Amino acid sequence: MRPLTEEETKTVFEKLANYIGKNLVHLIDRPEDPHVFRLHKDKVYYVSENTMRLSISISRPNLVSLGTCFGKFSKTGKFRLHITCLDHLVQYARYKVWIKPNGELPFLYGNHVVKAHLGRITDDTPEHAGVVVLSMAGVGLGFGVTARSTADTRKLDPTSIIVFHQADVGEYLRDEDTLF
Amino acid sequence: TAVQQGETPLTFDLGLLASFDPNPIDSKAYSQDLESYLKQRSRNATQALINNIFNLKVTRDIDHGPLATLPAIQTRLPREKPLPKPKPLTKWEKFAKIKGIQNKKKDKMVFDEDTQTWVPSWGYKGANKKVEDQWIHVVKAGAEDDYSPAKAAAKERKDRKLKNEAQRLKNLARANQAETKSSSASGLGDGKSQSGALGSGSASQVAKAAARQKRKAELEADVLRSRASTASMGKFDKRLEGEGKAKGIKRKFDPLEQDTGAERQASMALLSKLGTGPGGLKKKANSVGQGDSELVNTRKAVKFASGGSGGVALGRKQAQGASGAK
Repeated sequence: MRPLTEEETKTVFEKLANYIGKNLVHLIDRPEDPHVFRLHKDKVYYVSENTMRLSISISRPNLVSLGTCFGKFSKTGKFRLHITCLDHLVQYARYKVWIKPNGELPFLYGNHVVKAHLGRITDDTPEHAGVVVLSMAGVGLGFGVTARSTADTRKLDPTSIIVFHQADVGEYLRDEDTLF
Repeated sequence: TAVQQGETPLTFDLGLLASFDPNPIDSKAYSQDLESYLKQRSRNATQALINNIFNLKVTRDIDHGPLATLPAIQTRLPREKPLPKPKPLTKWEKFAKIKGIQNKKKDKMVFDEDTQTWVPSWGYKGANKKVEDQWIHVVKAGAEDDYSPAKAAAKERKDRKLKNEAQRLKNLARANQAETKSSSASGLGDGKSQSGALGSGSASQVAKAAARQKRKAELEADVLRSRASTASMGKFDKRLEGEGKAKGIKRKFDPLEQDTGAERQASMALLSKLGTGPGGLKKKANSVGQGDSELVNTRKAVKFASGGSGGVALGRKQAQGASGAK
């Protein structure tokens, strides 16, 4: 376990800013219960300071996971967000997409969101923006990238894709070996 | 045989067979007749010395006659030879100094768990020969028929001995080379005392050594660069036989137990640099001609409006339509 280097922090922040934008400040700077980012075996963990200090005494081969795993770095240094950070994303997301009940299951199986399943979308969503997918009840289902901006979405036909799937809650079952 | 004691009595160091006369010189007698005055003073002191020697404890010796045992030397004499030069540090000593490794003293006797006795760790019946002296050995499955574990262990020990000897000789050679280099460098200064050929030889030697070092550094840099010029930047390539690990390339990370406040400040600074701080999210400006990506994607708009035929066709159609309407 080690703190992130300058380069790595920049990569992670850029990725997160895609989804939560300015609210990234709330993740970094929490006056009560401050949290930090730590890297362990190429995975980035978001953990409270107390927990982090406790976990210092666990040796590296024995340490499995700590706090919330936000994602992992690939061998070439690219950062990929995992579904495990969904709770934090939903809290601070800038652009949200609500999908109808009949569209929940296809999304949870890993398919992209089509316009037919779209319930609501935040107004000024640009194209190719990071977006959090919620059910109509407001429960986080996953996140993705918009295919078109909100204005363009209105003109599309119902079978066209509006949100590219990136991660969904079904991955907890599909990828449970590699998530943590 | 008389001894004159002046104002200050004479002091003796019988171990050195010396007598000291600290009385001042009588300037009148000195200026009158220098030789005889000095002779008189020294005769005086010598007589006193002889008297004192004969006062010592005498032993009768058959061959040499009476012998007096002189007492220990009392005066502190200055150094006869100059201070020894500090020996140049060996390769290991240099490394240990940098790392701060202390020398751990090893005891000769070592407690052997198997026999529960103290055995010497080396030498006659030493513990370092335990493997060789075993009466039975466990041999690995894939060994040849004439594999002798005792001989193999003995060979290992001998190799270690030879390696140690070789390293000791290398240390000596390095020390000698350093000595001759420094002496030759200093010898350049007083070229008159040395012959002309020797003087020029050491100058060219120094220059050659410098050029050799530079070339060696260049070669190492080239090797490192060529190692990294593969598709995976040298990370997943098989290492060749002659090459060693790349030295000195070790990343340094922040310590774990650092002040999180400082860490947070650095993150905030990074955030503001990225533009996602309190300043607000700034999107990357598109390339020239694309306009503000927030409002309209002109490329896609043109594609849609022209039905796929492109902007030029669209302009042409519009011009036709305008002229047609007219």
